[in-house]
Amino acid sequence: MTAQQHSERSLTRRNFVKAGAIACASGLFALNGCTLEEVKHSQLESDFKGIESKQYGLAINVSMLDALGGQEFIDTIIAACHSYHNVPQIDDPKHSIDWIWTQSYEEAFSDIASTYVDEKTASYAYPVMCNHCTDPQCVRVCPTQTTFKRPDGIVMMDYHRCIGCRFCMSACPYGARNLNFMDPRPYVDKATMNPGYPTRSKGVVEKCTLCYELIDQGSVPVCVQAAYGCITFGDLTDENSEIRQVLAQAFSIRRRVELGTGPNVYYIFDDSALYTNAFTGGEGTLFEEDLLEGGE
Amino acid sequence: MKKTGMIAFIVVFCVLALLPFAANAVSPKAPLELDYNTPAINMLEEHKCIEDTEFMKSSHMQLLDQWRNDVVRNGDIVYTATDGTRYEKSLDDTCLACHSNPEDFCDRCHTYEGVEPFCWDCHNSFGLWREDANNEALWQDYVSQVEGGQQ
Amino acid sequence: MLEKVLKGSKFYYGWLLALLVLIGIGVLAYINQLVNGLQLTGMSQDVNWGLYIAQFTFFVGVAASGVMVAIPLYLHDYKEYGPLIIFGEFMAVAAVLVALLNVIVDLGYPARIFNVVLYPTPHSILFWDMVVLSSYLLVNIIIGWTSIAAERKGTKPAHWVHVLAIIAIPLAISIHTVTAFIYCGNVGRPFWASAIVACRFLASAFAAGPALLLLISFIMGKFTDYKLSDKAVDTVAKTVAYAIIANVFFFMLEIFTAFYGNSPHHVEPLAYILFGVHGHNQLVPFMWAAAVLIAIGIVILLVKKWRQTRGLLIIALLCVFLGCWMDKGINFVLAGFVPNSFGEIIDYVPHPNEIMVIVGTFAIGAFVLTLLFKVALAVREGIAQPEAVQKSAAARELAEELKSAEMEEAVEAAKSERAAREAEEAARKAAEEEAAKAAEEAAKAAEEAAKAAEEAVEEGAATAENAAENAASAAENAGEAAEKAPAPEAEAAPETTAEEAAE
Repeated sequence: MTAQQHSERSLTRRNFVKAGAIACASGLFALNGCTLEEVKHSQLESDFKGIESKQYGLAINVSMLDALGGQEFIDTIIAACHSYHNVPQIDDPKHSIDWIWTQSYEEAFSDIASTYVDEKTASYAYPVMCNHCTDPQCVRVCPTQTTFKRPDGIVMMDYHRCIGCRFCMSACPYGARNLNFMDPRPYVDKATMNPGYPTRSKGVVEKCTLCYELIDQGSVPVCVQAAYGCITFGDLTDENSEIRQVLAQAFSIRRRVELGTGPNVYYIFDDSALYTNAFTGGEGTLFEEDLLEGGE
Repeated sequence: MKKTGMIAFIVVFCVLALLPFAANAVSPKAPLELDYNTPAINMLEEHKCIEDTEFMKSSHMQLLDQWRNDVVRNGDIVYTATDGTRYEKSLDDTCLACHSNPEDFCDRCHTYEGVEPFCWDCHNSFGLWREDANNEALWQDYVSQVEGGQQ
Repeated sequence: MLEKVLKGSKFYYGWLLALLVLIGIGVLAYINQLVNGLQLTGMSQDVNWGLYIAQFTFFVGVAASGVMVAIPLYLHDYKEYGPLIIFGEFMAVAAVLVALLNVIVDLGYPARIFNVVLYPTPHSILFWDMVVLSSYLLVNIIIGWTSIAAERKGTKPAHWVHVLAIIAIPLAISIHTVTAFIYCGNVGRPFWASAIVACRFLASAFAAGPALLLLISFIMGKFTDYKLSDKAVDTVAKTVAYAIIANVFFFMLEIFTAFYGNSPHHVEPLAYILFGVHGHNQLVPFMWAAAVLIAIGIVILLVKKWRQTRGLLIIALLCVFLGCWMDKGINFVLAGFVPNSFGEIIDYVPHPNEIMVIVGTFAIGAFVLTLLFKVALAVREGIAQPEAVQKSAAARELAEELKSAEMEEAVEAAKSERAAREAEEAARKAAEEEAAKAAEEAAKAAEEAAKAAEEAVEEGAATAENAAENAASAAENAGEAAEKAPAPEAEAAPETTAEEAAE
């Protein structure tokens, strides 16, 4: 028997590889039938028509926040947010996670801060968070559409998908994103946590989601509820919205506008409300009862 | 020599490969028993999930997958079941409200089937909370709050 | 062909073993990181990419340059590079592997890596990076493997391999360009958001990559017969010189734009690596070490006499490679995070675990590189001594058998017939002629045996029987030939000729 004859009717390496490739391909084809199909069994009629096209934003009145107690008051807002969303409290600044926190004037507005600035402006604490940009960098760079822009303007995160590449953290000009460098659960304060809300897992990026779950239920974000009127929430594209009314009446700035991301968190400098109805118990003030109602 | 060696190899390989099946055929696992004994389920008039049991058994994962995409990506939070009842699309607030014993319900079956979904990495914060016995009072507070909210 | 990796010297096995130990350490360190999370790195919320991504960037460059040495051959038909390009392709394969491994170990949730494929996102540069890197890896494996297989058979690679090799050239440039786009698309990071980044990356890659390739070639030359022509070495060295000068030039452009324009966002990261800012100066030593190394490299490479002195050339190539690594494999990525969104400077201190993981990825790269180069070198050696290596054993055995049996009898016979001296003389002349013929036939037999042996290796064990049969018949032929040749002279002749043939 010659080598030629032999190779013709036996399993040479090449034939083996070929046969293997064909077998794998056919296996894949067969497996195709096993993929998750949409559930058709149910979902008779949904009255859900999709998220309306909007651009939600926040107007933060830093003068009012200062008048209500400055850093101390803002800390209660931060605590409300962090305990509602089960944000872990990690002391090491390298790994700490914050959805909302404070920075000084110079830090928050490093690009536009005046050298000689009035004492008030310089002394305020500025709450910073995700700006829910109109044209967000993080959404552009995410390789898995983990972070995406909802039609109502919220820059949303789908933690189920995140691969932890941290491209979004590099792209975000606002430092609003944090990675879970370790399993966050041991760092969630069990005394103040929200048992009805999930935590996140090790290795995914997280950030403020503008309390999309509350907005979907017709409520407003936690920070807005906890700020006693110092933070106004609303649709920036609707000129009759409350937030547009507030912005129309006061001087406001945004962070790093020159980058073209279109941040939607406005910082208002307006303490005129101090002398109107906010602290006299008149209308337009959020009291504790209102807060609880909104929270449910 | 070569041929017999090859045949011996094939035989040994087949025996090894078929061993698990044979072992299962000889001594099948005890049938799976799930625990439905939770306060919420006991309160139900009819012991029925949001859809019929067969469907839930076979397709709960697809359902949850779809819910997750609906809620997180589309903001669609209401599920209308076949019988017309409306539910919130939520693992924590809907599924686990009745099945408050995921260890004896979800996990038991998942272990039986040898699957490891990563739901609890984030969800079921209740469990996390209950790990801490000192929170018993807070737990009662929370339960009464939720009940109050439902009324 | 793959079986060639199994035969090697003790040093070869020792080297592989050492690499396996390093790989083991790296794997253990990575498991540690998987369990405990990325806290086991120097990264933080502010410096969110570290040495992993820096190594990724650097080795994508090395990978891109592996094909760069193919440009002169394929586009300008510069034959001197002929022996080099397979090693370039294989170096590209190993470098892409190191780059990809560094991306994988960098992920916070690596189990979900296929989400990049499941949810393809064309507006993400990382998606495109995955596309070009995996295509580049595949293309290089195919080109390298088919080329070396063709070389072994003594034929030219198929035409489509040539086409693929030409496709690989723009692909090589694209992988590093796309890697640069990862950085320069970030408007919030002024050190990265520069149009020159892709050019700088390509320039430093075309310096560091060929430098590494030459250094490895010299090492291979020490242990094997592999030799690059001096002309080829000099041309590669010139390429390195041009590329590194271009890299320095591009960096100077950055410095001018930043410091003359004096925009604080642009100045600060550069000041951070050049002089340190507010006492944060941990990257300064790397910056200046890179500057000095690259300067030494350029000077040596520019002076023809020095460049052509092997010892100095090696120093120059080492300088360039290390300088580029410090520039791109450390400083470029880390400095991009200075300052952060709030004007703060956060230092990056690598974690020991992170370094072990990186060493592990390097070891995997070196392991794969060693095996691929081993195959290429073994095939080349096989071609350099065409008839010999595999045939010699069979041929020599045949010749020896002939001698030991029939020859002794012949000698005895010759002794008993001392009287017939004239006959002896005549026989001697005849023997000489016959011996030559016998030698020729023995050589032919050896050739046949060798061919059979080669086929046997190809076709598997069963055909070895054929080869043995062929060898046996060849042996018979040779035996008959030797039988015809009487007396003592025949004793020596076939032996020496067979040995000559064997050599």
